[in-house]
Parts: sequence; C-alpha cells; structure tokens
Amino acid sequence: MRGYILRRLLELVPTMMVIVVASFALVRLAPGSPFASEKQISPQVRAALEAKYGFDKPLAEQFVRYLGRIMQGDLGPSTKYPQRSVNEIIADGFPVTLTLGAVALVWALLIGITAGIIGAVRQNTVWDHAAMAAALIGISIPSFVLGPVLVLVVSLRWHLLPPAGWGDWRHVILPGLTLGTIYAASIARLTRGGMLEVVRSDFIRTARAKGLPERLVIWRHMLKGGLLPVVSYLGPAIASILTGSIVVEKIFNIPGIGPYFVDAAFNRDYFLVMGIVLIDAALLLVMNLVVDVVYTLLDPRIEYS
Amino acid sequence: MALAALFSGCSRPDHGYFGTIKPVHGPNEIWINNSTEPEWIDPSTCSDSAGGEIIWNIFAGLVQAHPATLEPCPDIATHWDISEDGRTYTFHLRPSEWSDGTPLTAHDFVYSFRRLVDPKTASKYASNGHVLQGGVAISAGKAAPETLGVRAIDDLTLEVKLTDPVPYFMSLLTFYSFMPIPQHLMESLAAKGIAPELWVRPEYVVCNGPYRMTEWRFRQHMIFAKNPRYWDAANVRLDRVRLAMVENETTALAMYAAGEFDWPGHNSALPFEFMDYVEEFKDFRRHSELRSYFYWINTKRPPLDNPLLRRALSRAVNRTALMTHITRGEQTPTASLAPNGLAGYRGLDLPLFDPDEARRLLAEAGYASGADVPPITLTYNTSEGHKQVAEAIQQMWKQELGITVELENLEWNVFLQKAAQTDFQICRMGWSADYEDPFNFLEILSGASGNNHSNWKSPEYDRLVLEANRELDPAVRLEKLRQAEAVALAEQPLIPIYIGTSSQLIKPYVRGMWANQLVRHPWKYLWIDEAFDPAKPPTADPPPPNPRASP
Amino acid sequence: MTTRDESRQAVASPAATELVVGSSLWQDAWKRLRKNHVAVASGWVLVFLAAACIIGPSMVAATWGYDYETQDLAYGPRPPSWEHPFGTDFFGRDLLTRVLYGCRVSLSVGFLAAILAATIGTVYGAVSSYAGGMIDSVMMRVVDILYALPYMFLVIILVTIAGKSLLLVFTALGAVGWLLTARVVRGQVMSLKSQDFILAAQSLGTRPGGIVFRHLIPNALGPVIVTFTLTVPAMILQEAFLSFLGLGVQAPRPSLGALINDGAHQMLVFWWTLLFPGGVMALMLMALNFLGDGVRDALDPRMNH
Repeated sequence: MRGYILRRLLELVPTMMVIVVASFALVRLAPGSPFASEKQISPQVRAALEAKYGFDKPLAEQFVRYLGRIMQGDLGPSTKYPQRSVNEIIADGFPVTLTLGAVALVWALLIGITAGIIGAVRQNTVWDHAAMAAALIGISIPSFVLGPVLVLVVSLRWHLLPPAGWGDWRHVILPGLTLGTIYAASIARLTRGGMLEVVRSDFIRTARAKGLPERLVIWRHMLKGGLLPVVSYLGPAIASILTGSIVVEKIFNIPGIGPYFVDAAFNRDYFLVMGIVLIDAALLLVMNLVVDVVYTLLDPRIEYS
Repeated sequence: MALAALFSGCSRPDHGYFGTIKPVHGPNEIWINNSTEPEWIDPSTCSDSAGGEIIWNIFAGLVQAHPATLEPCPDIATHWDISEDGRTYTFHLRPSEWSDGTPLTAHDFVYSFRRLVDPKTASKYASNGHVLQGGVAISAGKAAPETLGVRAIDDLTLEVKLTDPVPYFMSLLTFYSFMPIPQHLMESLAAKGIAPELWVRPEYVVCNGPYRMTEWRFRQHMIFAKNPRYWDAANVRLDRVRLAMVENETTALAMYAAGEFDWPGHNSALPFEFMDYVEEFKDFRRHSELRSYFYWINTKRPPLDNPLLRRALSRAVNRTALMTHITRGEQTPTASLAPNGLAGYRGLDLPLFDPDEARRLLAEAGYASGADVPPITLTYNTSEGHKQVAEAIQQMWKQELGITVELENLEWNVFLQKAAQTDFQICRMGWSADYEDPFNFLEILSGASGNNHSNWKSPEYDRLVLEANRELDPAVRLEKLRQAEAVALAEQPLIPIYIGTSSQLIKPYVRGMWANQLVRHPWKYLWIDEAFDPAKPPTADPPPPNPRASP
Repeated sequence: MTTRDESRQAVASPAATELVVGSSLWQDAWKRLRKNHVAVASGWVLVFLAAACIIGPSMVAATWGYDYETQDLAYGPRPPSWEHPFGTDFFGRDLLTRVLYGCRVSLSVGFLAAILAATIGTVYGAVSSYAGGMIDSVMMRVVDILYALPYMFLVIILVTIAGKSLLLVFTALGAVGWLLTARVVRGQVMSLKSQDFILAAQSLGTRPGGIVFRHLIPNALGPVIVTFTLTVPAMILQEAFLSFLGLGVQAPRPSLGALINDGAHQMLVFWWTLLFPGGVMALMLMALNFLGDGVRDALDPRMNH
C-alpha cells in the first residue's frame, strides 16, 4: 500500500504537466483577447498592453516563461483585475470555496447516507418510498431554482438568515444547503442501491446465519458495500462541487473562485484561468488518490498491483 | 405576483416601500452597491463604469459636474479664462492638498494629462486626450509626452491648448480621465520597486477627493472614509461609505429589501420582467439616461448593401410596442441617434414605426416579398435583455415584412472582436454618453472613428461635422450637426431603437440626489435622513447652489 | 416451472423430451421487468412524452392555431387559462407548444448524450479496472486530465467553429459526461473482479472481452443506472447553459432546459413559466428513475422474484 501511494504521488508530476500543456494550448487557441473593449483602442495602446504582459512573444516562449513562473510559485498577473495578482485572488477565494464545499459535502453525506440507509433497510416500505421521493425531488430541482426560493422563504419572509454575502456562520447555511442538496439526493440513491446489492450477497447471509444482530449486519457489512459507489462518486463529486459552486456563489454573492471558471474564460484572463485550472487539478488528483485508498479500506478484496 | 410579494417582506405593515425603511447602519454612513469589481481605479487607465464611479468620489478634478444640471462648476479650479479663438484655456487653481498633506499643484495636472495620452500607460481612454494639442501624435508614438499642449505657468495656474475650439471641452473635463495624479507617490513607489498598478490600494493610495479608500476586500466590499484634506470637506456630510460588489440582479434586489444597500448604485439594471411589479413601490425612481441602444448594419455585405432594404428594416420595428411590452422601462423610442433636447439639440423627427412605408421600401428595393430576401443574421452578445429585444424584433421583421432573420448569440469577447472587424450583418450595440453633447453620439458615424462598425463613410458627413466642431456659435453648430445626422440616417447605417432610462429603487431616507441624464450622484452630497417618516414623506431637497457663484 | 426444473425433467425422462430452450440473461430480465408495474408505467410515461413532443405541436396548432414563435406582445404573459393550458410567456407565445417543442431538443440531445456518455463511460471504466496495473493507471489519469481542463474554452472554441451545429453540442456535452460513469464503474468493477464468479469464468477460459461484457458490466449496472439518471438532468440543464452561450439551439427555438432557465429568472413574477417546464422535466426524471430501478432489479439474478 505504501508503495502504491508513493507511486501515485510520483504520477502527479507527469499528469500535472500534461494538464498544464493541454490547458495552455486550449486557452490560447480560443479567439478573443483580454483587451477587448467596447470603445475602440488604438493599435499603439493594444501593442503596449500586450507587451506589458508578454503576449507579443511567440507562444512557445510564453509557455516556457510561464513554467518558470509557476516553478517559483508565482501564478502571474490578472489582466482583468490589474491591481491584484493571481496568487492573491486565489488565496482570497479558494478558502471560501473550500468552506462552502465542505459545508455542502457534510450536509450531502449526512442526509444522503442516512436516507440511503433508511431506504435500503426498510426496502419497499413507506419510509423507502418517502426517502427516494425526496431524493428524486432533490435531483429535479436545479440550484438556480432552489437557491432563490430558499432566500425568499428563509431570508425575506422569516428573516432568519441573510440573503447573500459572506462573513460569519449565518452566511454559509443557505448556500451550503442549496449546493449540497443535489449531491445529497445522488448519494442517497447510490447508498441505497449499493446496500441493496450487498444485502443479497453470500457473506450477509453468512453473517445473519452466524446470528449476528441486525444492527451489526448493517453497520459492519452492508454499509461498507453501500459506500463503495458513494466513494467512487465522491471523487468527481468534490471536483464538481467546485464547478457547481459557480451558480451558487453567483446567486449568494460569495467571494469564492467558482465564478472565475466562467468569468475568467470570458475575460480571457489567461493567467487567472491557468491558475484556477492548476489548483482545481491538484485538488482533483489528490482527492482521487484518497478515494482509491479508501476503496481498499471498504472492501478488503480489492488490491492494487 | 404572490411570490413577488414575499420579496418586499409582507410580514411588515404595508407602507408601500420595497423592504426596510430604516437604515440598518448608523446615520453617518451609506451602503451602496457598485455591481462589480472595478477594473481600474486609476484616472488615466480607467475605462469601466465601476472604476469610474469610485474615481469620481476619491479624486477631484479641475471642474465637477453640478449634481442636478450637470453644468461644469469649479472644483480644484476656481475660475478659468477662455481665449478668443476658443483654443486656449487658462485655469486658476485654489491652494489644496493631497490626502497625505503634500500640496496639490498644476504640475500634478500636467503629469496626469501627459500620462493619459502616453502610449506606455496603455490607457483605453487615451482618445479623451486627443482634443489636446499634440495628443494624437503622442498616442501614435510619434511625439514625446512632453509635447502635449498643457503646461503649468506656475504652481496654481494651468494652461491648456486645444487643436480645435471644442465647444464641449469644459463638460469633457468633468470626466475622470482628467483628474490629477500624485506624481510624488508614483515616483516614490517606482523608487521602491513596487509595481505602479498597485498605487490605488489602501496601503499606498494618495488622493484629493471627498473620500479615500481605507479597506478593500476583493469582491466583498470597499470602505471609504471622509478625507479631511479635501478642500470642501466641510460640506461633505457622510463620514463613511461602504461599497459592495453584487452582480446578480435578483440577489441585489433581495439585499436591498433586507436593507443591506441603501442604493443599488449607478450600474444596476432591473430585469425587464420585474419592472411592472417594482414600479408600484414608493421608493422607485425613474428618469431618462443618456444611453443609446441601436443595431449597427454592415453596409458592405449583401443584401444589406442596399440602403432601401436597410430603411425598410428600420421602419418595420415597432419601437413603441418594444418599450411597452419588452423593455418596460418607459425608455424613449427613437429612430434617430442623438437625443432630442440634449444641450439644446433639436433631434431628427423620424417615424417610430411605419409598416406600410417599410413594405413600400422593400418593394422599391427590388423584392417582391420578404421571402425573397437572402438570409440575414442578427448578432448580439450573451445577455437575457439583449436576447429578449432581439427575439421581439426578429418576429416583427417576420410579421411585417416576411423576412426571416436568424439570431446569433456570442459571448462578450468574441462579440467585441466581430464587431470591431465588422464581421456581422446586423449587430447590437449600445453607447453611453460621457459628456452632454450630441457630438458624443454622432462621432461614431465619422469615417475615421474607430467606433464606426458599419463600413459606412460619407465625405459630406465628415465635412459637416468638422465644420460644426470649428463653429463658435452654438446654435449654428447644432444646426450643422443636425444636417450631418440627416445625411447619415438617410442611408441608415444603423437602426436606432431607444434612448435609455434609469429605473432604480432608492431608499427613501437617502437624500442629496437629483435626477440627471448621466446618472451621476456624487457621494459628497448624500446624507441619511434619520427623521424619515413614511406617513409624512419629505419634499425633495433643493439642489445646491451653482458653486460658480462663490469665489 | 423454472428452467432448472425443466432441465431436470428433461434429464429424468429423455423420451418425453422436447428441445429445452434455455433463456438468456437478457430474456429473463425482460420477463422480470414486465412484471414490475411501476417500471412499466414509467416506461409508458416516457413513451407518451416522446410521442407528445413529436405530434403534440401539430395537435396544438390544429386546435388553437399556435406555433412556437408567433408573438403577441400586447397579450403578454398570462397564467394558465382555457385558451392557453400552460399560460403564455413574456412574448405572449403559447407555453404548451413551446414546452412540447422544447422536449424534442432536450430528449434528443440531452437524453442521447447521456446514453452515449453512459455507454462510453461504462466500457472505459470496466476495461480500465479489469486490466489493472499500469493500464488502469494511465486510463484513469486520462480521465483526471480531461476533468481538469478548462471546459469553458472548449465551449468557446466550438461556438466559434459552428455555433448552431447540434453535432458540436453533442461533442461539448459528451466530452465530460462520460467521466463520472467511468469512475463509478471502475470502483464497482474493482470489487467485483476478485469475486468467485469471475474466478470461475477465468478458469473456464473465458476471454477477457467476454468477462468484461458478459459478467462484469451486467453486475456493475446498478450504479451505472443511478449515475445515468443523474446525468440526464445534468445534460438537459447543461444544454440550456450552452445554448445561452450561443452553442446549439438559438432563440426563438426553445429547449426544455432553456425554458426552465428563463422560468427561473421570472419565477417571482410569472410562476407558470417555471412550473410547467420544470414539472415536465421532473416527471421525465421520475419516470426515468423508476424505470432505471426496475431495469437494475430485473437484471440482478440474485434478487428474489
């Protein structure tokens, strides 16, 4: 196992390299310019702007310079927000998104796994149907509908929580709920499905035949089997919480990095785009490694060569 | 409607206002939404309205626009002389200081004006400085910035020379591009090796206006405190301004209802669907705004190279219906470009909707029916509002003329590229006035203008405009501009649609605002009325005296 | 009689033997599915929706004379009535016609894209996991890389190439849609491949292809189906987002996702513009989920039927 983890960590380097090269190419291939403006600017001004950021040099040279930059931990300047560097922008926004994501994830796991367990253990009873119906509703309501509705009711009608913004714990609740509900619904269905697959297998029958109390059967055996698809789902789910937070952060005006995925692309803010791609990729790769390790904990039959 | 009623917190007694009516903060501050993070807060390089809104309140230029009449009034300059030929302006400055105590001199204005046109600054608004003598050459890199027609005769006297006698120059000077820059700060930062872009950050900034920035939390808020060294600080009422950056319109509405803003700010735009609902409230205010909405036509690409077809398209747009049912903001529908009444301008009187004439023009253009017209594409940039207007007009052309037009939706960056290269057939555009003069609109039709995206040029138009701008008699000048516009619109290089309005909700306890067409409400006049009582709403404040009256 | 009984009988009395027809896994599954009433009902709902969107618009046109694009600005948006069962939208257009028409795009593009994504993802994940070792590593790193690339730029480039092309919408949707399924299936297969029935098949000499397609994939279908039912709404809403950016169906042609998007903006003042498109999508998703559950149950040989 230790060898495996080491190997995976070493694999991070070539993977990140491929990501950097591919993203750089994709980003620069797109038409448009960071200096597009409605009122026309003269060619001299445009040339001065491009020289300032090094965009007038050949692409290969720009790439090499960029590599040099990131080796030193400098992600470059932002063309859209010239008074801030990309490092600062990400340092400001990333922890915010992580917090929001963590709250959403905790909510999703708590509600989702609980609902899934209820559904599996009380299969085909009214509890099962209620839990799965709630899950279906959760999947059917997109976040840009759920968010404003929550704000309307909880914030404007009942005055319990602030409608938007970021500052203290009260600001996290509504956006966390909005973001997490879709994942809760998916996790509920995956848990239930996974547990049901396991419930019919031999080792459950053996455990029951051995006379193990039902609760132990559930917790020790069924749940592990049920969690396997959830864990597979969690890897990319965490990554998509980052992108899912785009909509939620815009609705609740949260200063995270979510909106940059779209806005920085529209602004052709090359350095900022590359910066968030790198952070996102690093997070994703690490999470996938964690997920793969957790697999082996859940199912001892799995081993890595 | 029931859902929308929840918005205004109908658990409270119905006082007819949208949300709270008592400020959630103290009486000495105001909370404003600036809609978005500014791109630049630097007078020379700023070209976005979010940055401009801030610059107007932390810097003070030679003149300021009167908050009600928009007339140029003294700010740093106490009075000025204009030469006979209208080309030389001499400004007499009052003694004043920067926020760090350094005296402000005419040299700071010289430094700033040079910096504006210097190609090394890479300012997108360098063109504002092209009315100055030598400005064009410097921006083109053909002359040194020192050759600009501006010099400090002494510490408190500034002389400015123009290439032509620009009649709206004083109005232009109220624009933020012409505010002074603290040369001493820029030099000291350069000496310390700090990047010049960072000079506006709270830890470094030195300014001379009514407020200065004390805190900047990126994408959350900015805090401004009253600047005691501003020359008119005694008349600045609020101690503190908190600026938020909320882009989402619905979120902003919700926050306004909860009292988290007092004013949604200069840049806010209510979605069309909400207009009818929001208009009912007592804190709703609307007035006209100098913002034009039109469609450029590429006059070189068939079938639109035929002016008869272009005019047919323009006549077939039912502008009044658009305003009533789509944009719903009581905008002024218009078939001409420069707004009627602007600085005394008598606008062209063209029909807003004439379907019979449109059909006649179509036939005259050689088409038996609209179905014979080759495919046309209407391009707009990604936005709910633009899409709605385009969809409506697309249907109007189908219903009135039988012409099928395809819609093309491009995101902003690609859209701007295509617009700049005139790679379209019909393309949506807007134009906001920077100063109050019809030429600010008509200049986009000039042959040499970089903002003319229609491939249409007319030597006669350019001649008339040139003559107009050399004309010293304002009435004659306006008449010449009108003739020029008539020449242009006879060939229909664009389809004007409306002149905008500003529709906003503003808390009733915010005072010190007067409706004006550039929607400029300087913070220094604002104050919070603690005694506001919904049962007895106060009458409007009288506008401040024109400071020109005082020495 | 089960097939086992039939076989026993055939062995016991060879004289009275007719040819015993064994039934395959899929035939058994189909029989079981037909007995699941909820799943069958859901299937019919989906068929009905598909039929409605094909012939519905012409029926509405025949009854009332509406089409999806004729506006009546003076009439404007109005709640449901006898003239307009779903009400009218902001431009006075009949919402029923637009919803039916919009289903065409969403069902064809969104649905198909989800099926394609599920198929590619399943095969990819199963192959990667069964192959194990270096191949698994490389294949999964490819998945990670694709996940990390800045999606917006792909969209921008595609819009520039040919904004209206449905094929490109497919490409944009499909490019990332299969990644989640691949990960989920890989996880499932990892725990399946060390089980006895796989060892048995291997010792029988079944080729790897046979093992993957006839043994591993059918048993991993549970989470695949659940993930599929999550991918479909994601695709529909994603298609709306792409259309909003200029890729795919453009105004005035409606798509279900775009209608929901518009409705969400207007829900505070014109609630019916969200309720009906959203309701149709929710109905479609529920039917899909129940059908999916039924398919999963039917395919599982170990369930008690």
